[in-house]
Amino acid sequence: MAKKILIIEDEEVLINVLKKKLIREDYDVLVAKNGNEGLVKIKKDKPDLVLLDIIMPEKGGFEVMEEMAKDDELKDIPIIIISNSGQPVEIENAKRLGADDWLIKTEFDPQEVLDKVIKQIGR
Amino acid sequence: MLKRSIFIKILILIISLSFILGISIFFVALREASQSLEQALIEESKLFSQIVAKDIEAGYLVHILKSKSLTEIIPFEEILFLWIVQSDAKIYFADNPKMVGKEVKDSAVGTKELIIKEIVFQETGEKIKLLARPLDIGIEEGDWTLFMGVSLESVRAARQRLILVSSASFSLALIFFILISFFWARKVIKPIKKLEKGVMIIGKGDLDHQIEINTGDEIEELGNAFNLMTRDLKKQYMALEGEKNKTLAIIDNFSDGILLLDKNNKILLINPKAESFFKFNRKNSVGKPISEFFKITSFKPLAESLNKERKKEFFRQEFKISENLVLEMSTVPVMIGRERLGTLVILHNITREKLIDKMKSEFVSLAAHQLRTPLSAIKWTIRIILDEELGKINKEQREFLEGSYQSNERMIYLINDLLSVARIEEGRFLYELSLTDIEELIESIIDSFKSEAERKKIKLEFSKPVKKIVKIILDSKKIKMVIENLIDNALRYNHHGGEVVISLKQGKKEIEVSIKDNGIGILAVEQPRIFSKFFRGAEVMKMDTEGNGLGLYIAKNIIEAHKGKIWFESSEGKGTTFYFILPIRKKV
Repeated sequence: MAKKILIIEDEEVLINVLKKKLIREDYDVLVAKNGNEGLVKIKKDKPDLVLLDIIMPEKGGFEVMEEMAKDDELKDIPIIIISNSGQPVEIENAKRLGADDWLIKTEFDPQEVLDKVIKQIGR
Repeated sequence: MLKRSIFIKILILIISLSFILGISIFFVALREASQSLEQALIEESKLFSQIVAKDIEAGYLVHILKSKSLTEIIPFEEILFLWIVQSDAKIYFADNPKMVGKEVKDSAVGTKELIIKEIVFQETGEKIKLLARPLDIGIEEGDWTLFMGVSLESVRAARQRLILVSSASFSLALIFFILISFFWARKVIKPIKKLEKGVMIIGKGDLDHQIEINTGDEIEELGNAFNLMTRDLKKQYMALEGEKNKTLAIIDNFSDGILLLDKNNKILLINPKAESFFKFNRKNSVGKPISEFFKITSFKPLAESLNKERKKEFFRQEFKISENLVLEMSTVPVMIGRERLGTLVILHNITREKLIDKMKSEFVSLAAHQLRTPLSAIKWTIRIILDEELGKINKEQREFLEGSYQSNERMIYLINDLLSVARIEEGRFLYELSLTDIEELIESIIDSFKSEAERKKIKLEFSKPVKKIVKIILDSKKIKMVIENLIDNALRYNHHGGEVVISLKQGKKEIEVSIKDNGIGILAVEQPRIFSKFFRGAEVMKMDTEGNGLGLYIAKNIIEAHKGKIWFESSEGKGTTFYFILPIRKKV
């Protein structure tokens, strides 16, 4: 059975690029446009990995992680942060909340994102 | 009352002087008077004895003898006795008949000339004058002598009377003198007293007071000198007052709060701005300990900080008093010579600055996010097309897309640099320090530049030290930025066929990295500004329009934040070498 990846990201273009990349690698890709929607899908679909943006409308990435950390069923789901910023404090904070990796979008290519995903959960 | 007032001194001086003078005059006069009285008496007695002697010698002796008494011829009572003494010292005749026939035991018996001497009169025991005169009466052989005793009693009585009268008049004169002296001394003292009073009034601060003394003497001059001095003092005082008012006006209208505390942290001075911060009244607060006024909880940290013993000469700290008030407190010890007078506390309201800072950093974060979102979308989209995930592309399409991708990358770098500058200026350019192998770091950076160097036909060389370099504490991401920037510049501002050498050396206390090129160099006039923000050299602009003028500014900040140093040597047309050193630190 193909592994499920949930992309929580508000930028359509980025979603499309990631989706293309991931589907090509035979992952099941789910998409949420904000944190609230993302949490609903996490609870419902129990993805194998979450690609999470930080700054989003309605509910940001940190709040999503906080809620996941409180939920025993969700706290072990791997999370890779894809963000536009990357201050050491933010990264540290994210790691504390359960993030496994932090990628700055402008510094990584989609291929590298894919590599990180594979490294995290395998094909 | 003074112990030794001038008044008393003058009085004593006048009295004692007049007393001594009076006494001396009195004694001299008394002596003179008694001497002349005595002299007169003796002269008179001499004359009388001569007369008597002449009478006797002339034969009047018989007559005298008939009278049986000499008393009748004695003209004044001072003559106590009159004896005619035979050569055998027996009294032949005497005024007192009882004395006749008695022997006179005196050396003057038989004298050849007039003898006047003082003897003690045995009958009364008093001191008298004895006149002995030779008598030539031709009766018998041998010399007869006329003896005459003269009493000095009258002289003594006269002298006593003189003493009495003189003493009385002297006493009167003395009393008169004392009185005169008293009034005179008082007259002399009065202006001095006036002067004293005037000086006291001036001393108490009344500089308008004038001392009026019209004695016409030195004291009047002294008074005038005092008035002049007072006038000058007033001028000086006014000038000082003016200065003080200026200073006070500055303090009162100062935009910062000012507090001056003494050694025991009591308030010496507080300006209206500080009052408005603390909401306490100046009139009630001066002279009281500062701690009394910080009962409000929000001021406690500030007050506690003030009460702490300051080891540092100068101290600065920020205090958030409330949402709408952030104060930056600076304390400066106030010294007079070596002694500490107290502390000057300056309270600068930085609420607005803090707000602006916060807004700026929020803006920077937001701008970074907003700008990076489309840039990452472009980057990823072009990448996925270039990777032919969306289908095959031809060569021309690839070239165009590669160009766009590079432009987009430059935009990303610019945004990153701007963000770094903003963070440096905010003081939030955080450092993730870890023990790093700088040799490895440089090697990986050089690897990433290899293709670019090959493309530009530039020889890129790493001159490694023979001995392994120690690992040191640094922020590898930030140092990587610095080295990348320096290598990028060395490649960018170089010619085809040029050379770039990166060297690494370990010193005793630091590690030195140098990046040497043989490129265009930096114009001498531009060298001082090379590390300035947004600075780009004129030659560089002609050659390459891509740089943003932030790289070296950021590099300098990063190296200095590591307590290192960055510098360069350059000559126009020949090339540039950049050096930086990092201290060897093995612990964070």
